[in-house]
Amino acid sequence: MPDLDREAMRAAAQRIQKLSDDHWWALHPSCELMDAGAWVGPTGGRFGQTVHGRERELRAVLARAVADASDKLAGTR
Amino acid sequence: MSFTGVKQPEFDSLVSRHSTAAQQLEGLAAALYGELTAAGLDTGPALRIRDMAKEVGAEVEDLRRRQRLISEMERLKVTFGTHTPTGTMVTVPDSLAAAEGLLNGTLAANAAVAAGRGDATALAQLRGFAGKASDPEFVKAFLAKLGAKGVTEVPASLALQMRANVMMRTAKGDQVSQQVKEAMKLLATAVAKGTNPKDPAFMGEAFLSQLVKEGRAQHKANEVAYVGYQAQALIWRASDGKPPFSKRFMEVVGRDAIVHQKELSDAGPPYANAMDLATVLGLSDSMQPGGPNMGEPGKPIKASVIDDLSQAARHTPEAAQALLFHTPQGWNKSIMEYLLTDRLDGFNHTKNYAPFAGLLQTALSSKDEESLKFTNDALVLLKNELDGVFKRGDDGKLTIVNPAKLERLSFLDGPIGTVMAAHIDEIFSVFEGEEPALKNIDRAEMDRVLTFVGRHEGVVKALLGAETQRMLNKTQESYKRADGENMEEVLIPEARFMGHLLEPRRLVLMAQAKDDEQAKAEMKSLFNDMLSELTGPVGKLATRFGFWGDKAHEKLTPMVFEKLSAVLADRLLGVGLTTDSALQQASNDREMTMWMVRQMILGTRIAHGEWNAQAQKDLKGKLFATDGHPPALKPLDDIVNDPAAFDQFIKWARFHTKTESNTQTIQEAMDNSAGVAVHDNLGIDRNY
Repeated sequence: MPDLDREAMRAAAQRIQKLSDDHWWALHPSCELMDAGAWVGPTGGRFGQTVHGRERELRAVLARAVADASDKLAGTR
Repeated sequence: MSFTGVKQPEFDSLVSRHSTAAQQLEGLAAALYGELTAAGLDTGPALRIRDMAKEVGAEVEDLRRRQRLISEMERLKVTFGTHTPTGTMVTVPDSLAAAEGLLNGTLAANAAVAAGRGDATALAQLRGFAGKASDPEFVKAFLAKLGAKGVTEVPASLALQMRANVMMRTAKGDQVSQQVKEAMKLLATAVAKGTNPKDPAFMGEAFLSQLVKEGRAQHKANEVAYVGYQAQALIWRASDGKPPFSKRFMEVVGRDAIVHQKELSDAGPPYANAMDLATVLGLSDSMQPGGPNMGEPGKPIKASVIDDLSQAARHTPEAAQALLFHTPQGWNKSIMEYLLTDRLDGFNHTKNYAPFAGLLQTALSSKDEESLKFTNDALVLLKNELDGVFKRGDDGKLTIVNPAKLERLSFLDGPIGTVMAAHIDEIFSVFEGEEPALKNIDRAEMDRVLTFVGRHEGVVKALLGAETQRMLNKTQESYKRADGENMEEVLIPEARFMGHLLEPRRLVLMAQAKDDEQAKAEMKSLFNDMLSELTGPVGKLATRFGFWGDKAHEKLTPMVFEKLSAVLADRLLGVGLTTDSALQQASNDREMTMWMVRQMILGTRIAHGEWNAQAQKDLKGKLFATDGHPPALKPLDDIVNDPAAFDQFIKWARFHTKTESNTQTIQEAMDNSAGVAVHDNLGIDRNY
């Protein structure tokens, strides 16, 4: 396992945070358009649920990556 | 039904934004994977995002397909956008498959109409839709777009296109003719499905009523005037029964077409508007579908509306019975009776017998009460019509005194005879039953009908085959119930009946100026053929008892008595057919029958088991016996499957079975019935 020094780790954590910030809204336009009735019907309804669920999951996954990085930073001397 | 579809421009934005999201997630997954790996962190989040990117990518593909379909549907005006304050609502079926069906069905209908106007490209395109007809959405869209009027007029305009091309007698003419035939098949499939309440493509009752309305209406294509049913008939004649036309179609459209045909013929000249449009236009041969042969062999095909309807109705008992077993309002007879009496000459007019013959056979051959009742009606009608056809000639022999009358009925011998074979038990009951299952027809009249159908070789084989199976059943019953003790009692009535099936055929052959020896030879060969059809892997015994091809299975489960005796009878009859046995030396058909009866008794006797002490003693050292003390029979299944053991076994069984002696009375009964009873019933000299 590579052992980064504290500065390198801080920079890495910042880059991960930025990736998270930049993509936090990636699925949001799809969600909004579905909410606006872009596609109506049983299949469309299922698609809307899937897209919303995926947006929540994306954010949870991004949050985990950020948290992993900041935990590691805190543990680095 | 609530709205399903899309709103514009939101849907188009969704497609493009979702596509962007897929790309972004893919980039994110790669970048994050790099960072997490470099920092020595768990790469799980990056891997999960990579999967998400793939999922979103697949969704984008799906959305794009839908988008393309929608724009195609809008372009073809299959669907329209409705403008609302919040956007344009475009109705689209929920599932992609349904949307595709809707689009293709509409395209096919447009192509059919264009082809009718002479658009050669459209006609060629139609072929591409043949495979889509199994899709209910396609069928619904196709029929909805055409409407009952289009369904009626497209066949007419296609027929006219074909005539124009056929007259050129070019390769292109052949190609067009082939394409039109395929288009008619597509229509036949679509209309059969769209008018069947049990099919997901059912268009509703209103569509059936519209077909009736258009069927009765006068139409015109170029200068050709016709009634709608003459054109719809081209769709019916293209039916090969896959899928079949439904019972409901026959109740609504089929019955009305016949009522309408009768109205036309009552009001106008004979056969006014009675021929289908292909026949009217002189291109019946070119529109001959690939199915069963129509028309008179070697002659141009003529087909009436009723011939074509029969073709559509003949494929299932439900449809056939719905058409024939019905008395229309204001009529005093059923449609079947009308067709067999007043309308009978119509079939001789076109000589296109196969469709109606098939229709009768399908309707009358099932085992239900209705089928039996109408079979009874048909036989009574026939025996009445046959009155005065056969008489005693000056030489005391059977003579046909009214050839014209016979000629008129002639084509019915095949279908009616086949139906009689299907109802063999009821025919038997007329001769032997205390309470005949058929009313208003006595033995003499039945002999007259049997003489009529006896003109048809295939029918005689079917009747003999059916009676042979009855005889085998009786033999089995005799062993099951009485250890074979009442064999004579049981078989004597069967033998008498056999006389009524065999003798008319021989008399017919003699009446056709064949001498005694020729008739005898023909009867023997017919009997041989019947036995060949009965035995062997595809024979009726095997089909009925289902014993060929399941040998491995039989090793585990011993065969039941009925099946085993049928296997043995099958083998014994089969051996007799192929080797120089008593069968081949038999001097006539009745002796052959007796040989057959003895084989069946032997086979059943063996299957029944229970051998006496002498027979048990003789088992020692035989291939079919065990080595035990005392020896016993090996399992019969094993013996049957070992040719050498089987041969030895049959010799042993024959030696220990008394059949020769007790079949004498059975033969006498048959001789008496054939030579005396049948001749008396027909009013001709005995025993010639």
